[in-house]
Amino acid sequence: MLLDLEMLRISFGAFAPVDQVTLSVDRGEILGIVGESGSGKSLTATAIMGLLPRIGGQVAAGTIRFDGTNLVGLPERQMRRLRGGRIALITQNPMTSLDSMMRIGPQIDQAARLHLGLGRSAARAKSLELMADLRIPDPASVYDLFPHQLSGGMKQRIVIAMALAGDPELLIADEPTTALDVTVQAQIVQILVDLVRQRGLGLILITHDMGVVAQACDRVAVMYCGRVVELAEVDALFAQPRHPYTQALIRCIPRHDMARGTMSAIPGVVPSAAAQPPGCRFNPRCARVADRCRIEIPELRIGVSGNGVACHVAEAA
Amino acid sequence: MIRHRALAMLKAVSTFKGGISGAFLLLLVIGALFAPWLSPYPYDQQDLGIMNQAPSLTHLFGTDEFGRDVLSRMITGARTSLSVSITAIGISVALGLVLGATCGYFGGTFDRIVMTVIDLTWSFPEILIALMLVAIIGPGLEGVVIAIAIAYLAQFTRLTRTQIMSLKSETYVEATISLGAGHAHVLFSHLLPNALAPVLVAAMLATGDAIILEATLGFFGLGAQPPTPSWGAMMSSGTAQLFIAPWVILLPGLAVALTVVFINLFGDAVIAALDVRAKFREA
Amino acid sequence: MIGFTLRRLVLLLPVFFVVSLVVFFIIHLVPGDPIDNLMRAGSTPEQRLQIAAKYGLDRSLVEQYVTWMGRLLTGDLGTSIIQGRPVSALIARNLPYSLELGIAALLFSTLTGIAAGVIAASYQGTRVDDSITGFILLGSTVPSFWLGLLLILVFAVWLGWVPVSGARGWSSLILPTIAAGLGGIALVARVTRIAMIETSRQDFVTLLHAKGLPPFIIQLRHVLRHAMVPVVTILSLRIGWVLGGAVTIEYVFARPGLGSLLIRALNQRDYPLVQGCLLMLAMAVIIGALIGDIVQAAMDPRQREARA
Repeated sequence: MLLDLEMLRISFGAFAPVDQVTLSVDRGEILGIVGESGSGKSLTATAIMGLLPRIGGQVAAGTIRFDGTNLVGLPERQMRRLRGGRIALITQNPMTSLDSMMRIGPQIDQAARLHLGLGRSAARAKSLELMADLRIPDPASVYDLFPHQLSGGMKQRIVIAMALAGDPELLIADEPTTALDVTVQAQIVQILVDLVRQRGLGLILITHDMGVVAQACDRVAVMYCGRVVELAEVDALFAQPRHPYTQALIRCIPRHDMARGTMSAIPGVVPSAAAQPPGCRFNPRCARVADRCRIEIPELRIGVSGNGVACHVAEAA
Repeated sequence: MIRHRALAMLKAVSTFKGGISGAFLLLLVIGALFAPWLSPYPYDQQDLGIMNQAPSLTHLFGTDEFGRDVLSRMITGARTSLSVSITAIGISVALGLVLGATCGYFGGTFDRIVMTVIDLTWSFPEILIALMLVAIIGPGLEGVVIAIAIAYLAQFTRLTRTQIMSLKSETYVEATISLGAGHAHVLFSHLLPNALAPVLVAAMLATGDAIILEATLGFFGLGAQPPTPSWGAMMSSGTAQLFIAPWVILLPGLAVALTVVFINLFGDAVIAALDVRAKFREA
Repeated sequence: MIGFTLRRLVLLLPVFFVVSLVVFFIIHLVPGDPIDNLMRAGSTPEQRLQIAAKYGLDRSLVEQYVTWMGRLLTGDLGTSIIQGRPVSALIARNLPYSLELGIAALLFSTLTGIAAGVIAASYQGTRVDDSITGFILLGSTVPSFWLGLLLILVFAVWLGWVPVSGARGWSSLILPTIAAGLGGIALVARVTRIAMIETSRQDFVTLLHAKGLPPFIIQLRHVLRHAMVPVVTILSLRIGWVLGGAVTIEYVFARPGLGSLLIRALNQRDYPLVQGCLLMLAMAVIIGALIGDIVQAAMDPRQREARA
């Protein structure tokens, strides 16, 4: 495995918005992490990047193994060598992810110069090549533009190019299409899928869009309130969702053959970090809630197939 | 609304910073109010036999070049400095509220003309505006009050105008207007009460700046005229006095600096207490 | 950029007009007869008529303004009543000293302020940040003239390191620069600190960290560059503030300069000289703001392209 998270717990002071997260991704594989906002998807990504201290959090327990090395407790200097090099991040909003006062090109060059030790002109050549790979028209002139002169979709390609500049093995894309137009979203997802297939990268694709999951991912981790509630291969997940929350999520995907006015929604709201219910965190909103669910937190049990679910009811069935 | 604000004040005073600074300011105001009873000597009692004496038990802060008690003069000076600054800022706030509310509520040509002039004065340092006005009015306390009031007018007008404009576009105000409420009703019952809090906080902080401005004008000999003491005027003998009796110069300046520091700290505490977002963060 | 600069220069004309109008009216708004204000005590009636004719006070206000303005444009600012010399000559002699102090104070406060702001932001929430923030509060609450007096007492009188007053040699510039610059340091440091902290929270900075760049490179090469925009805005708005501080400080250190000239003129009711000094100081503020505006526009790529 390229990346292995085991029983990860992230804390901010007394709160632990992410707990007992176990998941993994291999080379050439796309792992989707889905869940509503506040489910801890982005925090998990931030933890893998080692950037939690910047926002006042820390890894309180568990391990993050990258290619065999535990990143938890790794000295900052060594972490910095991995960051942008072997592990790269693609952020959510391309509008605000680029330095608006710096030309596009040098921003892409940075990672290659820092991690691959390339000189100015070698880095430039590599950046131009990357831009061409990402189907950015006329890379040489885009290289000298400022971010405000590009469209949102183009900016997101630049952000991807920036992530690829350090020749990463693991790519973490945190809602890479949320801020984009629907037509552009599909293009960006396709670019990411192609990258994984061609370069053999491992990709963690964080999204709340089940459509994107179905289109791109190999395996999926469904998160709710800071915990992984279901981990499964994508076909199995859509064919036979086991956790009531996953089932509800899939029911919420709009289809063209639906009767009018039958759009479904999950009743209730995600509880805040300070007001978590006892027992299974989904129990107040769950249609199949049992007495046990209100007392005991279900654990994620992964079977030999690599699939697993954290639900008392699903396990009993 | 009023209860909310009283609560905020209470909360501001209950913090460490707010408590300490509030207590200091309260003592200062009491000292200024009861100056004639609190000062150990009459502020203008000269005794040429004890000129420029260093601080001692009989004269805690020493004596000046006429043998007057520096502590007594500082207590009376607090009265001058505070009343000048507070009066000036009071006038400035009142004018600024009227001008800013009119501009923000009605807009149009009047607004444009006023704002052009306001923007013009904005880039000029207050001390330069004050000096210009003192040049016109002539030295003395009335001149200083008017000069300070006008020097800070731009700030309050702008602030009120921005507040009124943003409140005016809120749904409930638009609804009130569309229901046919009169201008006066909308302005006085809906807009001004809500615009008041930030203006009053700004006024408190500006009072600190006004104390410095008053001291500077007094130091130049353009403020309180002898024998009336003010913190600034006490320092107007300047470098000459500095070599002989530095306490005469240093102590009033220290009083100015401390007062302004405490006004700022108290202002910070009030801002923090009024801040709704901060309350959520604690939750 | 040139077009932008020219447009800004044209916008200055009405500002200059209003300022000149205010300054012109000073002499008419002063209580009492303007002629009395222009004379030394004990002048004869013939001298009165002479002065009235000389200053055109026997003609209408509009006529007076036009003549005054015409003279102004040829560099004639009138004659000082007390010193009996042309105001323009007095200003020309004093201006270099004010420029010297003003520029020194501006440079000193900008550079020190930015450095303090960057350090405070980089160590946000630590004791380093607290002490810089405390200093900022102190710097904006201590009257600058009093700080000047304090510096004189300590460094000139007690320690004897630098001259007490005057303007001979660079060593006489040190204390005035510190005293005049303190308020500016506090202002620049406060704005820099807040701007740095706010910029650091933006997505692009997270992404820079995600690239593995060393934090000090991110702070200096990226965050500071963004933080400089509000700093320059504030400076261009409040450049007069620093100059105003210099006015006060000149008087304290008995340095020649426009400030001491103005305050002496005010105390002596030498109105032509007051007018001249105020006009020059106002021009300095306006030109300072203009330079700030241009620098600000040159910094932002969006404005640079749009206004090219």
